[in-house]
Amino acid sequence: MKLNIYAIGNHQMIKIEEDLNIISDLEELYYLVEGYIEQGKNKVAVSFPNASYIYSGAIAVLLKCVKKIKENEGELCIIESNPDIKNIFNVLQLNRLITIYESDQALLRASTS
Amino acid sequence: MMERPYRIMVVDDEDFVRTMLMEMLRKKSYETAGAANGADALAGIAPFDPDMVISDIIMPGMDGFALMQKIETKYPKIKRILMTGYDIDSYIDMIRRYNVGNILPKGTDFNLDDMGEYIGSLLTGNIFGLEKYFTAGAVETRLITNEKQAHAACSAVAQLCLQADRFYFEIALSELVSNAVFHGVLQVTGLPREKWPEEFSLKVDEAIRISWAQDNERIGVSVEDPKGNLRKVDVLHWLDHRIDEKVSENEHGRGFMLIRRFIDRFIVNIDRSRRTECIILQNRDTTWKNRHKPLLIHEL
Repeated sequence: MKLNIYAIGNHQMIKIEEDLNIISDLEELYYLVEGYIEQGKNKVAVSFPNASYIYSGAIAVLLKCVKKIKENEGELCIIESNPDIKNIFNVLQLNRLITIYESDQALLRASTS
Repeated sequence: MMERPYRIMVVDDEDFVRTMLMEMLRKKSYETAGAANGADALAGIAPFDPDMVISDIIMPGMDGFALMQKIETKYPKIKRILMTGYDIDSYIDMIRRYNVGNILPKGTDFNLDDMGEYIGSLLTGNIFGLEKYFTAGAVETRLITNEKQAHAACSAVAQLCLQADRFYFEIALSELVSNAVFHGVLQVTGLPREKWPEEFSLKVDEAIRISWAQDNERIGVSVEDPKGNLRKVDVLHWLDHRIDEKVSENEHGRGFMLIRRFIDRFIVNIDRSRRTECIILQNRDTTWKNRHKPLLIHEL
């Protein structure tokens, strides 16, 4: 899985550069998050800029990440500007667990304010 | 000897609804009887000997769920359909508690032709097949044994959709294929994702079947697996698999919720240990999106 990793303020950003499909293995994302937690970095942001859609398997991995991060009193957020994908998150009420930002800049503004 | 027509009892405390539905059913050559409440319905079953009971949910005295439970216990061969003027999803707790599979919306939210078709399918047990929802237009079918074939079929079908629907239709299709392959045939349910196969390759006798059809009114797709592992109780569980703030133990299983939310008709037909068929129907008329949706899960 092609990933781009960088920091935004206090958040460790994981950008997934590939499109997702029904067999996309997002477990790598979970192992990355687990690694950050072990290093004491408990604020993580994820984005899927090239995803044409999101499927329930990807939601499952995000939930697994949320669970791990919350156990360690951290925060997971998503950078997502696609209104259809945001709608999916809202329908599943994922937005109750994860803060969704429109852009990297929005996250940066929120984390420095 | 000529077989008698099917008999259907309609239970509703609203006289107008009861008589209108009975009239509609009589026009389709069914024999009908009516009851205004659950107690009258139970008293009328022995003399009328119905093949099916269709009941409203909210009635004075016994509600539709309780009535259907009594009928199921005492007369298990009678087919049962509930109906309601309210949003069916708001009853999801009761639906799960009573393990109910068939609920139709009352009034303008359900096409009478569809209702007649569904009642006929339940009575005859002829529940499978996409073709019954399309009066014109051929049904195309592909057998799928690997992900390349699955992607090709899903892409071909998604192109038939209106642009505005394509995003959600493609998700629904992917969820159905994923469910048929991984849960239906490969049976990875409960296994952690890292233990799932990276790619799938099915034997010919395990192939899943994707069929599609379209007409002026709608587009429909059926995804069928040859194992029949899914149970009605599982479908109801997944439909009620909301995310709560504590994050549930099992993170998987939101696909059916998404399908029910974004697709106009989601029909699940189950012949246990033989086959499972999931049908999605999307109307071209977008006003259907704001109407109440039926719950159509039938397990033989």
